Amino acid sequence: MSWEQLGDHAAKIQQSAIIMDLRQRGFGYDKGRVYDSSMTDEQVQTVVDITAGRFAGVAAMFDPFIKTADPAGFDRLSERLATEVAHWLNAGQGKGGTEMAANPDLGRMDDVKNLVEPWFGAAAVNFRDNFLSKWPGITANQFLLIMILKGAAEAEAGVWRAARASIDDIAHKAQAALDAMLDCNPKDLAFLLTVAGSIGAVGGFVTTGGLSLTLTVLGEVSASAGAIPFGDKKELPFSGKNAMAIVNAVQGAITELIGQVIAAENKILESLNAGLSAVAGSSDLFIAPRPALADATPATIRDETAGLGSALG
Amino acid sequence: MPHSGEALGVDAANLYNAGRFKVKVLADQFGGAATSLLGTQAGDGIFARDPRVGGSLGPAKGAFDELRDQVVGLLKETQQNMQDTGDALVMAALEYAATDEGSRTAFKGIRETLDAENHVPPVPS
Amino acid sequence: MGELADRVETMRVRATAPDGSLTAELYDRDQLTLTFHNDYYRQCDDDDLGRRLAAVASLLWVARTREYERIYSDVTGDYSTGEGPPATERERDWRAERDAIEAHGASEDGRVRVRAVGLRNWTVTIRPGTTRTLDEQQFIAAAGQAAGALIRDQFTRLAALSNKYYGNDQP
Repeated sequence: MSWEQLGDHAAKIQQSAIIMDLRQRGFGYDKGRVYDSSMTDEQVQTVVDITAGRFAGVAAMFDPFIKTADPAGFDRLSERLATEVAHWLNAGQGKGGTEMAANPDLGRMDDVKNLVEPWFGAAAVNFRDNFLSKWPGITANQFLLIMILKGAAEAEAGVWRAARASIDDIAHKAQAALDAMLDCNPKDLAFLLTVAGSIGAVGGFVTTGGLSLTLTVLGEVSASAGAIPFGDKKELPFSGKNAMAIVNAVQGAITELIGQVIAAENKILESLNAGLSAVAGSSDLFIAPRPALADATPATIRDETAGLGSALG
Repeated sequence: MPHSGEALGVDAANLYNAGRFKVKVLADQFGGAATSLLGTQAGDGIFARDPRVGGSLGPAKGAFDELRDQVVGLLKETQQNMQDTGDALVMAALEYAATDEGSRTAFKGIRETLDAENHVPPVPS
Repeated sequence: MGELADRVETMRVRATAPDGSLTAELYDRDQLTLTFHNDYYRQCDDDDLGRRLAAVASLLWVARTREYERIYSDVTGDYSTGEGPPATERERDWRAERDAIEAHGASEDGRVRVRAVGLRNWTVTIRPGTTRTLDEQQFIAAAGQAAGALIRDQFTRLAALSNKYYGNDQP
């Protein structure tokens, strides 16, 4: 079984529940036909209809997971955030448990410091003190925000991969339990829900420069070495001894799974909100003030108070 | 004491180097990062799911968009500041280089080397 | 039905008598066929054949149980085999009744009769004179009918027992 066929499996589970319930009550079943030697065909049909009515909503219980968010899409988003965005600001922090190439060009800002060294006009001093010296820290903090976004995408991928695997497990085990229900030794099975254990904090990262904030980058546990999962996978044992008990266990497991997905996504929300509060509350950690030099003109550039002044040596 | 002549030409060439080949190169990279980040919003259909599981786009989508917008803004502002600063450094270099014959000559020689190193076509003189 | 049911439905198991005289094969859930070796059928007598068939039936059901468990583990990921101790009084009672199920099956002509208690103790009774009257192919067909009838009887009784202990008892 796999998640793509969930709709078909759900329909099959409903049909199997009806048949197994009838068979447990002594009706014969062969190639789509239900029979009982002590009843007329009409009487049998009435029983079949009543039974089908009792299990009418079973396939629809799976509906919340027929359409899910797209884990492969989140994988691609996470990958793009890493290679097309975070990479440019990465001085080699390697945050997020992911191997990511550092941008060798970031060192060019260190060169700038030396190249403007002989200039002592106010704009030069301001450029050095308020922009260049803060630049590595601010770039690292901007990088951290991108890693929060990347971590959110990775965690979403993890949540939905686990959600699909879990709903698939529910369908798979429910069907197996129904299949085995009237065999000699119907064992109890357990649904395995893995969403709670699928994501975790890759780490708490402290912003650089001045007052520091701790931000959390999330990740998919299976993808990020060192991620500490928020919860454990959960086994929900159920009795496989009658069709209604199996179906009720399915409903319980699906309700639990929905709860796990929402709880996990709320963890993702928390991480994003922490990033937003940090930017709102301490914007100076994330953006340097515009250097006065940026607005210099040929008329002001030689000025000692507004421009670079004279080079000294 | 203030430089002039050849020494000033060297200082001006350093400003040129810093502006054109350091600050503006990074400004372009930050601009590219901002554009790429903004571009990721095209794939936002990936959040869509059955509304019974946390609403039709889930609880995190709004904050994700908001933080992404914030970061795009930060990157763009950083890019703009660096771009303008880089332009100002180049402008300053040309201004200072024009001070006297000595500075002009020294600047021209170093600039030609820098341009060549950075694969920039020579300036017609 | 699902993968488990489909695979159980189509599984094939076989068992051979310890002396090598005959092999029984079970397939499509309740279909049985026999193969006699070394001209055994022509030389045997009815009682002797009955005893050997009972022994093979017992081996065949062990093989079937083993194969069922293999498929079950494969499908469910539950690799525990056999039964643990009963968790409840009810489960203990269910098992006791299940193991006491007495299932019967007979060929259409009544010459071959099979009885199994808890699918463990097998008795095969062959009406005297049968091996002289039926040729090998006719006997194999009769044995297949008896075995099929017993398996269906067993599962009908098992369903009734399951309903008694675990059913919803609804119309």
